[in-house]
Amino acid sequence: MTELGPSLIEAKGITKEFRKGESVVHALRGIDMRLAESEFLAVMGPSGSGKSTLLHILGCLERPTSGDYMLGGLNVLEASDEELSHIRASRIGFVFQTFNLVPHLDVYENVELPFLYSSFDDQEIKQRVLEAIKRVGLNERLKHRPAELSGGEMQRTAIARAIAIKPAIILADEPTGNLDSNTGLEILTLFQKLHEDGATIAMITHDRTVASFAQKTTLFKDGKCVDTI
Amino acid sequence: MKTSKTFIYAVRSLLQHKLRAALSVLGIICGVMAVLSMLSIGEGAKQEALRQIEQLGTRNIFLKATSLTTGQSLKARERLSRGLGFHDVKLIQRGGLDVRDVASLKELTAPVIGTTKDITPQIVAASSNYAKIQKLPIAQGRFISDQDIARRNLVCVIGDNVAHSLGLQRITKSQVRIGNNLFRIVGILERQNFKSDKSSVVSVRNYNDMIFIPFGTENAVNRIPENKNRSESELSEVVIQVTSSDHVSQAALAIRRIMEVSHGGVEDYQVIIPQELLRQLKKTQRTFNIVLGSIACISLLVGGIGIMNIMLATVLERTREIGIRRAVGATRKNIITQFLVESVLLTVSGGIIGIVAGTGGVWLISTMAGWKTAITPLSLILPVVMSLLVGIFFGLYPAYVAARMDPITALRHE
Repeated sequence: MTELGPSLIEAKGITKEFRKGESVVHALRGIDMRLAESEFLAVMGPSGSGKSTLLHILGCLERPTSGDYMLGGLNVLEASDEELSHIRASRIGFVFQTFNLVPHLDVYENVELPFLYSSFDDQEIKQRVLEAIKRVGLNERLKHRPAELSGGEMQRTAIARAIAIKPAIILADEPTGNLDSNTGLEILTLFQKLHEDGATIAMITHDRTVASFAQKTTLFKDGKCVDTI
Repeated sequence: MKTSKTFIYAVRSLLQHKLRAALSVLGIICGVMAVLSMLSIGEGAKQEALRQIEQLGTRNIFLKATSLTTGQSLKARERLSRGLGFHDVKLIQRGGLDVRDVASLKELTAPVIGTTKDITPQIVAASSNYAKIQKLPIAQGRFISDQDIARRNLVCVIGDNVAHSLGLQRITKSQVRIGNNLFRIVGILERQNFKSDKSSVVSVRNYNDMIFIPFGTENAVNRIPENKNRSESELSEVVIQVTSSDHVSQAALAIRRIMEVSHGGVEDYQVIIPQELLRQLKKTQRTFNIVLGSIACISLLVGGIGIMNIMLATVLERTREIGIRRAVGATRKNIITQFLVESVLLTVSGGIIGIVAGTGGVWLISTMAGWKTAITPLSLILPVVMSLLVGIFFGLYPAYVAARMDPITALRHE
């Protein structure tokens, strides 16, 4: 196991409420969380326990109702919408259950997508994109569109997209949820390898086996963190 | 976001649905075609009218005899109006106006022997200065001289078509029989660029078909001169050349007054002032342009609504893509730019196709209908600029809808 590095994510008292007409849904009820650099964390819990909401907040896609959230020493809550976009473009790599690839772009272009919103020069972009694709083992599939790929390959493309920008953290939301168990295993092995190479990963799952690939597992229930193993 | 990439991706996503893109720009294509054809037809008509008016001369004032109804001729006789005649010329010359020269003309009817059937030469008795005032260039020989008028020489100057019709190459010793007498041809006019156009604002003489004879020889062409119609005026047309174009309106005012007094208020003449026609033409042209422009704009507007519709459908269809782009770091501005570029690309390419098609249409109109058209740089630039603006204007709302989307909701969109 890797040694724990300095703190990357520090969240205190995070709450999130959704209003649906008259009623208020408390998705998160005061979450305290600390994630060190190069740590591999699994967040486990039943559906509706608020784990996805937490991931969205950690990924700067959503703002919490209250609480403090520091990402690499930066107070995320004070950032504007545009600044949040820049943080996502440069520091966060998302991997989704449904892959979320752009259907009319090929593998290379999907991996290149985050770079459209950052300011690297063309040569650097090309190098990073190709390197990421090579790391997930898709260098033979550069010109293939998502429809021409298997589920595992699509998820590999998504992982390549996430790691190409060399993010501070990779946030994975049920990355094996849409895959058969063998392919799922391949993807988890890939995550483990990335972790060994120094990546910080937070992964959501409801599956105990999947969670076992992580260094640490936080258990969620009803918007609260109930246990950490 | 990199400009070149934005552009390339916009082109690609439009090409994803070629038929849809083509159908959505149809409105813009039609709109631009309308703008282009209307501008070109308007400009063509204007240029043609300007040319005709300028041919009349902006320093000139024309008096033309008008034919009278029975009632009007009774009134004319009552008030002792003799119709347009040399007395009017004298009055104008003595009126102390800024008049440089006055030329006059009398239309006659007589058969011309020897011409082919395709032309009917118009015979006119003219004063010697007519060619100078009307700037008629002589190809061969000379125009009618003062001496011809004084001696009542049976000479004539013929237009280019008449010369061709008579089979004449040179004027030496040629004669033509007009009415009862033989007239010696002393000059041939240079060919004039004349296009008969019924819709023109002024009637321009076709000098190619004309035969000029000296004043005083009118009786020589008429078979029975005694039978001259009494109600017919002495002159058909008087051309008054003013010293400078600045004095035209002032001189015209004085001439109108002189004529009114001399004709006892009988309107057996018509005053035509090319300069005034020019002013009126410019005014009507403006109105014409505004009306046509508005119609064309409405069609562009309809085209724009079509674009907005398609862009809204595209945004809805690509909700998930918008979510993905937002998740990987696109700002709201990036999303707006992306969709705006697509809609502008649609409208501008529609504009360019419209210009190509419109140019073809304009050519077709001028060939089929025989209308004079003119494509100016403005009529090419304006539609493109307008389609660009339509693209921005109607693309803005769909782009705003796209940018406003909540990234998480967009990501979950099925």
